[in-house]
Amino acid sequence: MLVSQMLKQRNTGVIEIERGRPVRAAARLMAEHDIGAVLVRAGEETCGILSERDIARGVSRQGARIADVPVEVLMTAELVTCRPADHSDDLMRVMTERGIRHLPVVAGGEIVGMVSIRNIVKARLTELETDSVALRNYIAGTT
Amino acid sequence: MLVSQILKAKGSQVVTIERHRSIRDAAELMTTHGIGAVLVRDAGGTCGIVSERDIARAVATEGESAARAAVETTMTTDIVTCAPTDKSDELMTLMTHRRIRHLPVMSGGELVGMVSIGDIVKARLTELETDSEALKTYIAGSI
Repeated sequence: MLVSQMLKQRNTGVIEIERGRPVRAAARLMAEHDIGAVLVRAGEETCGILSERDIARGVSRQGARIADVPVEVLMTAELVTCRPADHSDDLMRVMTERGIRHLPVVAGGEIVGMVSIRNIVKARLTELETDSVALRNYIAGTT
Repeated sequence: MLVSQILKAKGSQVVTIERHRSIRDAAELMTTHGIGAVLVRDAGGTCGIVSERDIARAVATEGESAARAAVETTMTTDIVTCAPTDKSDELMTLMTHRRIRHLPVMSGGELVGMVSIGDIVKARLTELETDSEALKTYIAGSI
């Protein structure tokens, strides 16, 4: 399935947080929107991504203090992105090789969505169902 | 692919933590082992599971005191498990419907491993590569 189709299936939009805000605020945004990562913005520019994993790593290294540290301390500044025309199989490869679960979708220089490993698994399930229906129709048609 | 094949590739190690240990201890275990969830145990055996998501949620609700709290305050006690004979496609359905990323593997009442959404995606990649190899061999053989 293409990324563009996946975004049509479920596009939560892009949830962002301003640089300088505390990690706790980012964790609240994730809980509120039921997502696993938020983008970090510096003015008009996206400057990083912060995931549940980053927060857990922060708790691991710094303990209690991380709730109040600014998001940029824990975020990953290097963004790995994908495009609407990419195929979910290719995204699986990127996520597995990089050990990441979220890919911002870039079109025309803008971030237009976010694809998570969960969306990829859901896309695969849809494919399986479509294949199964096609197969049943084929069999029904040939008898 | 079967769960038993996935476990053969990744091993059957399951990381556990005592229920009274702190959330920070759980986060440290996740960092050390490069995993996203640990099982929580007490004298009676496994009593819960705690994930990166649970840690992020604890930071959202508890802030500064989250790291010191016991894992049992944030763990999920309703554990969804799978069996070695389950297929990865079935696990995809289970993970999507229950919105979880980790499934402990049970065999004959014993805990024999843990499968994550990342493992499932990796298994799917292996399947894709095997299909592609088989197709290439088939085409090469037919000319």
